[in-house]
Amino acid sequence: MAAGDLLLDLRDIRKTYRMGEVSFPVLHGVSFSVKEGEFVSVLGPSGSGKSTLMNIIGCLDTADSGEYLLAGRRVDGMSEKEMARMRNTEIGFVFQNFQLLPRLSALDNVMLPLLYGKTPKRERREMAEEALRRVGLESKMQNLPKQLSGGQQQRVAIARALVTKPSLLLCDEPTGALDRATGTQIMDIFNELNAEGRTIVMITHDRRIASYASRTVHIIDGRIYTAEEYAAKEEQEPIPHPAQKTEETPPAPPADEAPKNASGEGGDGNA
Amino acid sequence: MLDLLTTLRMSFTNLKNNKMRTFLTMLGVVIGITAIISLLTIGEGVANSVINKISGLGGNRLTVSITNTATKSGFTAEEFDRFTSIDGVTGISPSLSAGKAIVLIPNETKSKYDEVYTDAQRVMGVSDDYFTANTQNVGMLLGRSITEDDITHVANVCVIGYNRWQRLYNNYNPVGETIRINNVPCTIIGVLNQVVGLDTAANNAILVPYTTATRTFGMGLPRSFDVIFRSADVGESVKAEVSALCSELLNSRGGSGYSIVDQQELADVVLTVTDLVLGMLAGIAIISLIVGGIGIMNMMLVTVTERTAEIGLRKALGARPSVILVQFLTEAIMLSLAGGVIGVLLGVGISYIASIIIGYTFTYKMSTILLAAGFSLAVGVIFGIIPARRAAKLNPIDALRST
Repeated sequence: MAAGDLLLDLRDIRKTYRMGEVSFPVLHGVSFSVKEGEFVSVLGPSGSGKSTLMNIIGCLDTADSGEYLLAGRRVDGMSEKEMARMRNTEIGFVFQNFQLLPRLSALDNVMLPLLYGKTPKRERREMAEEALRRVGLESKMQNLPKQLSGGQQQRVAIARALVTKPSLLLCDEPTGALDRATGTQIMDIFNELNAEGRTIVMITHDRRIASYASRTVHIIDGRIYTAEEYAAKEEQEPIPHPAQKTEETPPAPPADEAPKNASGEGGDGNA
Repeated sequence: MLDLLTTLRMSFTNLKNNKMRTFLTMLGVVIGITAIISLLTIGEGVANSVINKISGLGGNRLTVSITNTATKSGFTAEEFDRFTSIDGVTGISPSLSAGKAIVLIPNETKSKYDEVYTDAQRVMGVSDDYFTANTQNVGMLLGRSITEDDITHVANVCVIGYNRWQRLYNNYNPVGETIRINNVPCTIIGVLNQVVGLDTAANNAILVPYTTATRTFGMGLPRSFDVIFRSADVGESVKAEVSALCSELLNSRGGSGYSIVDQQELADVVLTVTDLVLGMLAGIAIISLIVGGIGIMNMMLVTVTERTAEIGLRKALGARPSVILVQFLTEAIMLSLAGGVIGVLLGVGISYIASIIIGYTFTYKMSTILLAAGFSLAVGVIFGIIPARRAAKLNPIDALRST
């Protein structure tokens, strides 16, 4: 896929959580897309539905309705097994709390996704070493996570996300557990990776972190807004929490009404 | 699917990381398998030993005893001839053991009877057939056995049983020496080899021709005798004819009380009881194995809960549900198989020690060991599948959130 092609395309994605009688509509028809080589942040306060959106983008969860294309493949309607395969080959995850297995060395942690793919045993080690070198941890390969600093742990996690050479790097508050200086280092790595042509989608509630991306998608209460609308909403304290609503899902705004980019780049995405 | 080696190594690492818990969980299976192996092996050993003793006793032998005390007299040699002529009967072995007689044994150095071993010894009157009956068919250690000639001539000869010989003579060859039984001189003609089996009375006895016992030592006529027949298939008909002849002979002297003991019947009863007891014990052992399996399931459920985040992460990184299932199932099976192997080793060890203590020949069957291994494998699969499925079904989102 060449740069500029659509890597990610979500159309009218809706999701409602049900707990017995009570329903929690979380996404009211979200539509946006990401081009190959873009660095997009999804900015929203807690309860905005951004985590649910990230789960859907990450093939960890399925939407109730709507279409989702990733790397040219329809994800909605996929079986659990196919979704596992998508996660393994197309997506590299970076989590807020690193999510490294504590008893495995940095190298073994990075090799983990290769274990679940079809990579021959001999290549796994080489690929993992290469990924660790990429994040500057060639001297820490045999260290256990607890022997590494928070920033180093997150770099191991980035190496793990990179090792399968996925088409999308999906980050969930990647600096949330780090101090400001370390967080900045991590963001620099993302910028470098993006400069090398990697597509990155980053979920965050932090405006400053979001600004590292070339484009920001704003989400509140399961709907996408423009930067101006988002700023206006933010002033109306408190931002309402989407709870205890009835099963009736409010009609979603038409796709066109849900403007997407705020950071000034040309409107792309929704048809 | 992950390659087997990676899965095994992963499971082994997880078990190794929780040594105490792994050991305690395994203990249930170890105890169960140890119990099954040792019970079955000891049981088989004892049963084999019983079978050997029974076949030593002779599956082709009936023991006839006159039980009616009103009839004082036993059977005469002429009457025994009638038993011998029954179709299929190969020999009659009367035995007379009228208590104990005073036996005087010359001191080998002084050759005098005044310094003698004077113990009340068990003296048995027997026929020549006694030495060819299965149990006693062990051959002579020294000298010769009692012959038909000795019976007919009422010879004053004796054969000494193995244990008695060791006690009286301390391995010295006494053949040709004369001893006094109830003050009657008797020539020692032989020493019998050691008799093994259930009926080992001969080992501790001094054997004389039954005619000599009756006439010379006044021990009366034999009131009990063994009927030896050709083979087991004529057993029933021989038994019927022996019974009829007993009735006829005893009725003529005014009483018909007698008993016929079929050794095979006795053996069957013993084996049935052994099987029953073993079955019950094996049942209890299997219950303990099930308890062990529940222990494994319990531990695996705890493990799955503890490792929810890990499972979620593995799934997020692309592990399919089947991979997770296999990983946790492998852990459970490894646990129970390891317990099974330790149990087999312990079980075989215990039954080996038991064989030395109880005194039977130690044997183990490969089938028993494979059965135990199969059992422990089954326990791992049966009790591992529920936790493994729970792990496989975990939603990666919930699982990741749990940290």
